[in-house]
Amino acid sequence: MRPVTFRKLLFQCLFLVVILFLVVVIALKFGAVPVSLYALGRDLLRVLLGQSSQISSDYGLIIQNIRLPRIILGIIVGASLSVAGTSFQALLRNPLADPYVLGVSSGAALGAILALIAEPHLPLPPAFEALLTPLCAFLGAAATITAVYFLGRRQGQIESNTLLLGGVITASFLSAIIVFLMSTVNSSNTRGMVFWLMGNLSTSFQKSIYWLLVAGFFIAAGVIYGTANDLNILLSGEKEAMHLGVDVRRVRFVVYIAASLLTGLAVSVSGAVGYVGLIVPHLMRLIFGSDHRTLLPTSALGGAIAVVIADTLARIVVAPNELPVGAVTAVVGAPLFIYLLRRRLA
Amino acid sequence: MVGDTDYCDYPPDAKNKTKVGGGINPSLEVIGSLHPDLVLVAKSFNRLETTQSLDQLGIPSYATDPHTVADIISSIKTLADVLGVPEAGALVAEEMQHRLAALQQRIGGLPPKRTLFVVWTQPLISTGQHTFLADALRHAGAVSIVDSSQDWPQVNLEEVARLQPDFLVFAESQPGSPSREVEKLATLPGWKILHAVRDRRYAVISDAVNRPAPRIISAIEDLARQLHPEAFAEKPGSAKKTMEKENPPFRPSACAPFPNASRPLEGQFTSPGGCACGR
Repeated sequence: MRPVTFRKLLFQCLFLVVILFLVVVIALKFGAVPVSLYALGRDLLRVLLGQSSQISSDYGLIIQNIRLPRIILGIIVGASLSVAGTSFQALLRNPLADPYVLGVSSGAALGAILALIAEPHLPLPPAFEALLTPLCAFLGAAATITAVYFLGRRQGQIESNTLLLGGVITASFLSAIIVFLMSTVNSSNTRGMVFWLMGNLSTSFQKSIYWLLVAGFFIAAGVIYGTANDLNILLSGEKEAMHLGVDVRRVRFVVYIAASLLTGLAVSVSGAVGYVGLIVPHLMRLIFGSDHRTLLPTSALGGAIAVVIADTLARIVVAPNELPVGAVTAVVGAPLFIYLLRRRLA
Repeated sequence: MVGDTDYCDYPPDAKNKTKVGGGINPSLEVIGSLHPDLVLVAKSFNRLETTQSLDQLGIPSYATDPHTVADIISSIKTLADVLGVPEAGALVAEEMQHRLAALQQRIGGLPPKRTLFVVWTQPLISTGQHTFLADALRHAGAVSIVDSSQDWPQVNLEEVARLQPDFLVFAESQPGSPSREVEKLATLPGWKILHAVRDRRYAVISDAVNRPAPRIISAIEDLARQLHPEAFAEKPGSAKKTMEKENPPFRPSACAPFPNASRPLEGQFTSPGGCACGR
């Protein structure tokens, strides 16, 4: 394996950061309210200088309270899903693995739907009520992670195939419960649930949620990055890794939990945005190689770029209405995956 | 009436009828066992497959697909004809039309309020221009800011913030709960920038407005009352007189000329379920 120098990694990441920045500027420009690039630059400068109070123009509030938070949410969700996807592909040694393969998204969806059903019957303070759905989604994801972990254990440690089978069947069982619930509850709720299942970044959150997400992302992604070397060795085979002194049991446990938490965080705020966690890692592997020390950070940036682009399209393609972002990622993602597959075979 | 669906809640007696399941997936066996002379279906709630299956069982069905309030009225008339009680249908239709006309006289001259009808908040789903719901808004002296040919479009919140509706309109099965929804929205940065949320300009009406039935008129009147309170304010003398002229009581027992603005339309034609929220 080629050595990864710090300088090279920095250069690659910088390259992606520049692209991400450009994508964010474009995403900020397009939307229901037209904004000129000049005004955007001037106001960005003011925000950076801490003079955001001077932005008095009519669009300033919209950009600040709706468009920018949504872009930030897209960045976090995209980065989380891609890092989780990369991790699961290494953990399960399966190129088809994505963040949802072990049922985390189904668990989160079930939690959210239960919250939507229960919400009208609970006397909650309004500020908490807005948090109930994402909170229950996260609890659903956490419960699924725990259940699948115990299903996937064999002789006290995680075994890839058992984990995969346990996860897939858990996902399908949870989906069955969701279908059951959706066909029995009052129909006026199902419309919101369906949109939730398709993945959506239009939800507005209190500012503290964003900090929570950012913190969660850096902790979980940092933990996974700490095992990057071990993941590289693990890919060449479990026995080899053990001989080389890798604590396989610990690495698997840590990566499994951290990647699942990343997925849970992403799904609890955006629903199941598909394909990003599957394709971005493959794309980055193609461009930057399969060394996880490079692959993990580039995937994070690549995922952020992909989701921000997809969500911008979701906002503007049928404006003033919008599409669920999951519909865009699926339409673009599936053909892209086929292309990558044929390319690999050729 | 021998049976209805799991979701039928009006009139209260509807809950005691034999249930045939949901609107999308009713039990054909239960329907068959009830031996109905006619099954009522609505294109927006039921599936075509269900009516085809009913056909095969030899059970006739009557379908409606109203896109305007006028469609609803005419379908009620047709239904009465089908049921062999054309006089009753004509009476109901006439009363509905009369109440709409009276309302039109009262608020027709006022500029319509720009509203956002909120079907679902996160994600934001509203109603398109070709639904009877949008038409109901028009009858209530409101115009939807959402211009979509989709029936249930997901609307971009930015667009709403740009257009700044005068009112947010919610339809609720239970009066009282909607204020919670608005309190919830008022805590979110994206919604807080809507003037209507900040100033608590919202109208809450019965979910009867979602149903293609006579009660929709009460919901429309209720909405008009909340959007244009000035038109319903009691002016001494003259206003009351014209009101009585415009709105002669159809049912002597129930229909007092419009009660004052703060009271819901209790006792009129459609009874409590039809009119939510007297705030």
